[in-house]
Amino acid sequence: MFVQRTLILERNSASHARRGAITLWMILIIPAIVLLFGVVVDMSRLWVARIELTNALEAAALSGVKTWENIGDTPTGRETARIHARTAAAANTVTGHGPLVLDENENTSNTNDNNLPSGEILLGRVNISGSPVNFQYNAEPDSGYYFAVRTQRTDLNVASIWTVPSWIFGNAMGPYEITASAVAVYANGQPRIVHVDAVVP
Amino acid sequence: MQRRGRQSEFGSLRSRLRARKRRGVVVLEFIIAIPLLIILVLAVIEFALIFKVNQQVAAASKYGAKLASEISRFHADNPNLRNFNTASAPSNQSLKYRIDQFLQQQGLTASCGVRLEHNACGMLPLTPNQPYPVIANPSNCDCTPPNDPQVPNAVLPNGETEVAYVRVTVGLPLVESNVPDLLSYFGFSVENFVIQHTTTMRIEPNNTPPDIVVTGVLVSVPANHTPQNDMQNCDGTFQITNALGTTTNSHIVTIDFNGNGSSDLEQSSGLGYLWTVSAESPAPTPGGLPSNNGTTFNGIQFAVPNDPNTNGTTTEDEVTYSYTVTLTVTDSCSQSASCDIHVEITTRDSSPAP
Repeated sequence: MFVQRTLILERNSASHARRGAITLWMILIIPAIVLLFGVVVDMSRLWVARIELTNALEAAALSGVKTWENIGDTPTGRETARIHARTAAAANTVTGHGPLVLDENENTSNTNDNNLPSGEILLGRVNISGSPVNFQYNAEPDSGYYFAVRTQRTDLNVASIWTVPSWIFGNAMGPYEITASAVAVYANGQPRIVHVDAVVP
Repeated sequence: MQRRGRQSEFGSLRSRLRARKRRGVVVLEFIIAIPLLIILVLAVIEFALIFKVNQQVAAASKYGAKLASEISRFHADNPNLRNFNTASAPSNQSLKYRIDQFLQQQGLTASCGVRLEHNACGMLPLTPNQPYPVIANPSNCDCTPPNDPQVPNAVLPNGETEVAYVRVTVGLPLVESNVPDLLSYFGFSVENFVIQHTTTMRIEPNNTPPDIVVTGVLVSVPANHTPQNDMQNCDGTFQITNALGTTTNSHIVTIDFNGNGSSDLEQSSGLGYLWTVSAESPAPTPGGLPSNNGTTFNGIQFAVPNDPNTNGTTTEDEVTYSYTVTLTVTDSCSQSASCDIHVEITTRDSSPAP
């Protein structure tokens, strides 16, 4: 009899424990999944934003290098190339940021009128043949080299749309920062995007 | 003892019933919780897949914009910017076909819509081509691009016209074969959603209007008249000196115009020409050919003013008739340039004061 009673008590307490188990698990798992969902959404948006940023930078580099080659390596050509690169970039949007506005990075006392090597629009040249393929910003595009324009944007703020984590943890995620660059050369009568191995003076 | 035994048996039965009830509560909790859990897990998976497709559509719009930016504006080329996104483009060469190929290579279906807009050929502002093909389903695949940012007009504030842009918008329906409709069982279907991306690029062919070159030959000038000219917005040689004419018994100045030297950077032939003549009062409208569509405009006759002489002892003022000959040259994508040639014919007093 005693044994039977003990068994019943144990079963009762086990059932009692089981009754809250699912709720406990749900309390633990649901925020984790919601957080995971938020991370998935934000990461995916970041990837899309990065692709759009690259698209805008490529459009800017293509437009800039076409103008520079067409007008020629003159002060007017360099200035107009920067304006056209900037205009093409601003015609594109980046998710979570809006139209892409680039700084012209102009300083007429430097070679190719580049202000800073880390600037957002950099005029330079790319060697036609040879390896590695380098973008040289401190040299003019004379014989044996292509006119080249490099556009880049570092630390572009992309807003997070996901606010649930902030409800849970009290801290909003984001804004995030993304970075991308593109190099375009004018080759065989046409601007085109190229991959360069290094950016050198 | 027996009674106590019955009581405990009854108690254990009651406990078993209560335990079964509790197990029922656990099952109920489970039944309530599991769908929520499944929905959340499926949402994570589905959104990840949707955003993967989103990236692919973004890449497709860039691919399309680059293709469109390289297409010729010259309407004799096929495809050209005007028909690139229409059914009249050569088969397998339309923008829609190329973008669909791009998407299908990545395991997606064809797009439900592709919209190509451009502001080349003097089109202001950005003007859409016909979306191709006409989209019936889903009905929201109209590929309307966002209002912001505005694409700069082809004519920038500084007057330059060679910069023009293409804007390509691609729409892809989230049908089952693109993204599994995992949440449809829970009442949230993505089947009618469309992912859309837009990329804007500069047009690579030259977007300049034709360059006009006009030459002219003075065929005849009556005696005692001095025609002269100047030209605006055009190159070429057209010299009418101030020398007095020599042809007698005539009241007509005859000039041959020639626009053969005009050219277009992209279009080597097939430019459209339109010659017109206007007269400024008091000059009468010229006879002969008032307008012409050829490269030449020959035998144009301009009336000369009457001799202002009314008194041999005084010098009367000269009388001048002014005419404007306008040549408009249009390329095949309707971008045009105009050139004005001003012709002035002056009659001096034939009997000035001695």
